Amino acid sequence: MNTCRSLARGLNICSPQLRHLLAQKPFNSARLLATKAPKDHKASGPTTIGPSGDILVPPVTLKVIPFRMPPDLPYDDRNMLLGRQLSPHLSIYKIQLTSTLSAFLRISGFVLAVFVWFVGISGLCLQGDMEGFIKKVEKCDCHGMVTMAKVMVTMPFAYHTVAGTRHLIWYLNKFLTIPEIYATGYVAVALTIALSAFLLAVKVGEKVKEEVVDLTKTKKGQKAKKEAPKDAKKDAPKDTKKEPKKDAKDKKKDEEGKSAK
Amino acid sequence: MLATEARQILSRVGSLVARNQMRAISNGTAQLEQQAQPKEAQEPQIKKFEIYRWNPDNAGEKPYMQTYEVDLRECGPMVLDALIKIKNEMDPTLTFRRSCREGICGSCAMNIGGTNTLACISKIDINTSKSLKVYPLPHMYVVRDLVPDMNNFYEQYRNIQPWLQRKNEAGEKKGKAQYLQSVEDRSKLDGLYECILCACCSTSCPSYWWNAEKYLGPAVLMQAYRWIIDSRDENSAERLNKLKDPFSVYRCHTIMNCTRTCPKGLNPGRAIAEIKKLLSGLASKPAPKLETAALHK
Repeated sequence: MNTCRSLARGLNICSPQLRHLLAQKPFNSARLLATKAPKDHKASGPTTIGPSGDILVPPVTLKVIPFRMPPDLPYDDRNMLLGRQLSPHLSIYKIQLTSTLSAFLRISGFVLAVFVWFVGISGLCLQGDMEGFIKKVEKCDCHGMVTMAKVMVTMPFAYHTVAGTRHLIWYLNKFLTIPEIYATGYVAVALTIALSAFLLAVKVGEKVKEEVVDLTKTKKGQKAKKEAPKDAKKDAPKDTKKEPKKDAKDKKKDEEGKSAK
Repeated sequence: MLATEARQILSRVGSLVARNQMRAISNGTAQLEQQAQPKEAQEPQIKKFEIYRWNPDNAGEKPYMQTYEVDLRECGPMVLDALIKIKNEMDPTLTFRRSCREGICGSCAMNIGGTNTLACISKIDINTSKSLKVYPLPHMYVVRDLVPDMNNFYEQYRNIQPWLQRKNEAGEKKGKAQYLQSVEDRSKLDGLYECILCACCSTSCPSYWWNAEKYLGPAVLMQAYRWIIDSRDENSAERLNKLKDPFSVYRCHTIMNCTRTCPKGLNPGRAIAEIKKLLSGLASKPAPKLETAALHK
């Protein structure tokens, strides 16, 4: 098909005879008006007498030629040989809810696929392990970036889930009239926003729980240590002891967060 | 029989008389309005029409948009009225198809204001600050100006064999008697047989833009469903077998631009969903409720 099309495009310029044949137009151009002709000219059609009494020669000269079958070409190739223009489509059509939601369903699927492939390929290509990466993320104080990354994953996931369910309902031939399509469209958008907000909120809730658990552990630890060591210890060793505890807490939080992802 | 025919004739005559009376009344009101205000006192309501132009005889010329200005006070209310006025008075070379001017023939299908519709039933937006853009049907080869090449569309329609097919054709002489159909079976064809094949829905479908050679498009698929679901047709299994390939039906992604834009208010999307159910085995065609060939015995 592709070679045929390139050939058709080449032929378009080369052969005007083929163009005329495809258009099934006569080669001889017909004269539009009857004119007075010299007496010697022999007319092939019926002659008529004008209002002033002059003899009028017919405008058409008939000629018998053998029949030629037009070449049997597909629709696209035939139109390309004729040099016809394809009418505009995406640039002129109105943006409507129906086509917009369908386009976003494909875009969300594409984003999710890219994310999955990125994680997989980065596992192959990047050096080091996950813990090293996690430590780098901890050191980097970029909460805005982390939040943006979460939103960019949860929003497509939520929309793809909701819109995919909507499409499966359509396969049962439900909600397929235009008022129902618009109603379910708005419902899908609302559910998408609610679901993505919920997914973001759940992680925050988990963090709060983690903090509660860690606080109880730290209290127990402090009590045990207070009993064991002597009262005469200096302030400096206490500071050194506190730091590793905080590091452990952060590690646990990040690990659980990523496992949730 | 004679009584029913007489009733039908009388009802038709009555409706014709009513139409004439309505026309007389409307003409009277128009005259009254004209008498009330002289023409000079009314401000002209100039509307701009940007129309797609392309002439195949000018080799190498690219399509362009030409702007015409029409006084809406001297023009009918529909887009087709404006196009005919432009052709008669401003530019005789403007080319478009039109026939019935009542939304029955489907000839004047074009893209008006961004959506596919019929020019004859599309009211002109009287907001004169915006121009109205008129294009041929999207993603179609243009013969000239607003005339698309519909050969692919008609060929696809021919491929679904849109005629009644019976298995015992020898035993049922055509024209001898009617094929019986119950009222319930007949009601399944409502919303399907009214299709005027204007191709507004097919050329509004992005999937038909990209796969026009193999994907049949919503209009043709709706007619395929019309013949599949007809209780008098006995070729449903073969019709469904012809649609079992990855392109004929399954290029439909339920975008629903087709139902959104249909100028006759039909629902091709629902018909395609039903075809998918029949193809997948979720649904099956029910048996006719009347013995179809009873009168042929």
